[in-house]
Amino acid sequence: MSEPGTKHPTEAELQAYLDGELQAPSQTTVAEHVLGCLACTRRLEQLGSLFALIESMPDLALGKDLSPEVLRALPSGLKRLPLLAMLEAAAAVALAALGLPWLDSSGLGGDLAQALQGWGSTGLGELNQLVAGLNALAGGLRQGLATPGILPSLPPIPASQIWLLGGSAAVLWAVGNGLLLGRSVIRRKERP
Amino acid sequence: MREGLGPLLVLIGAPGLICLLTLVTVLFPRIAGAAQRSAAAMPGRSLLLGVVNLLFFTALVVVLTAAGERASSRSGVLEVLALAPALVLAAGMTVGLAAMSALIGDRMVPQRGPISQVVIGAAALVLAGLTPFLGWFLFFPYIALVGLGGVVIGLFSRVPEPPA
Repeated sequence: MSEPGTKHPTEAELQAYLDGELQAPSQTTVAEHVLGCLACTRRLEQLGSLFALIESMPDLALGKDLSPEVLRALPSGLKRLPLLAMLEAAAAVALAALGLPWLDSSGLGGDLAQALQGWGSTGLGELNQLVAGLNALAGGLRQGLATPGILPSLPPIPASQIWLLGGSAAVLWAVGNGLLLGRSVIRRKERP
Repeated sequence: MREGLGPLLVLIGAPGLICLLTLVTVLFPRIAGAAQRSAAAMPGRSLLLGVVNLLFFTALVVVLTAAGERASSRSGVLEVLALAPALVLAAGMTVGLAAMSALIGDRMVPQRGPISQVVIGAAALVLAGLTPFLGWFLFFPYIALVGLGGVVIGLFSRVPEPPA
C-alpha cells in the first residue's frame, strides 16, 4: 500500500505511463507508486484491458467516403475575392473611364496640371518635379506605344461605337461570369 | 534580316517560356494549384470563362485606347490606363498556362516530382504550340483559354483540394 497522503497519479498520467510516454523521472515515480497502491494497480489493469480490447477490434469500413465533403467544409487557405466587390471595382473603373475623356477634352486636366505646377513653384519643389516626371513618363509611354510595329494603331472609331463596345463587353462579362460562376456559389449555399 | 528572326525567337522564347511557367507555379503555388484543379474538374466551363474574360479585357483595351485617341488634348492618360487590363489579361494567361503545364505534366509523368512535372508539361505544351496552324491556332489558344478560365474559377469559387 502507498503511504497515506501520497498523491495518486491522474488518469492522464496513468494512460501516459501505460503508453510509455512519460519522462524518465515521472515514469519511475508512477511505477513506484503503482507498486504500493492497490487502487492504482486495479485502475491500471482496467486501462490495460480497455486498450487491449480497443486494439483487438476490427477496423470498420465506412459506407461513404466523407473526405470530399469534409474538405469542402474546411476554410480554404486561398483568399477569395468576392464577386460583388469585383463587380463594384469594375463599375468604378467603367465610371472612371467614362469620366476621363470628358476631363481630357474639357481642358480641365490641363488646368489641373497647371494649377499643380503653380502650386509646386510656390515652394513644393519636389511635388513639382514629381508632376514633371509623371508628365514625361506619360509622354514617353505615349511615344513608345505610337511607335510603328509595337502596337497596331486603331482606325478612328465613333464615340457611340466605343461606348457600345464597352457596354456590350461589360454586359457579356457580368452575365457570363455570373452564370458560369454562379452555379458553384449556389451549390455552396445549398450545402447544409 | 527579319526572315531569320523567327527561329531565333523560338530558340530564345521557348526555353524562356518553359522557365517562366515553371517559376510561376513555384512562386504562386496556391492560385496555380486552384486553377489546375478547376481546369481538370471543369474544362468546358473553364473554356467558356476564358473566352468571356478574353473578350472583356480585349474590349476594355480597345475602348480605352480608342477613347484616348479621340481625346482632344491627347495627354496619353487613357493609353497608359489601357495597359492595365492588358497586363491583367497577360498575368491571368501566364498563370493559366502554368497551371495547364502542371496538369499536362501530372498526366504525362505522374511518378515524377511537381517541378519535373511542370517542366515536362511546359516543354510539351510549348513544342505542341509550335506545330504549324494546329498548334498556333487551335491547341495553344485552347489551352490558354482553359487555363485563363481555370484561374477565374480558382479566384472566385472554391475547388476542394485533393486528400493528401
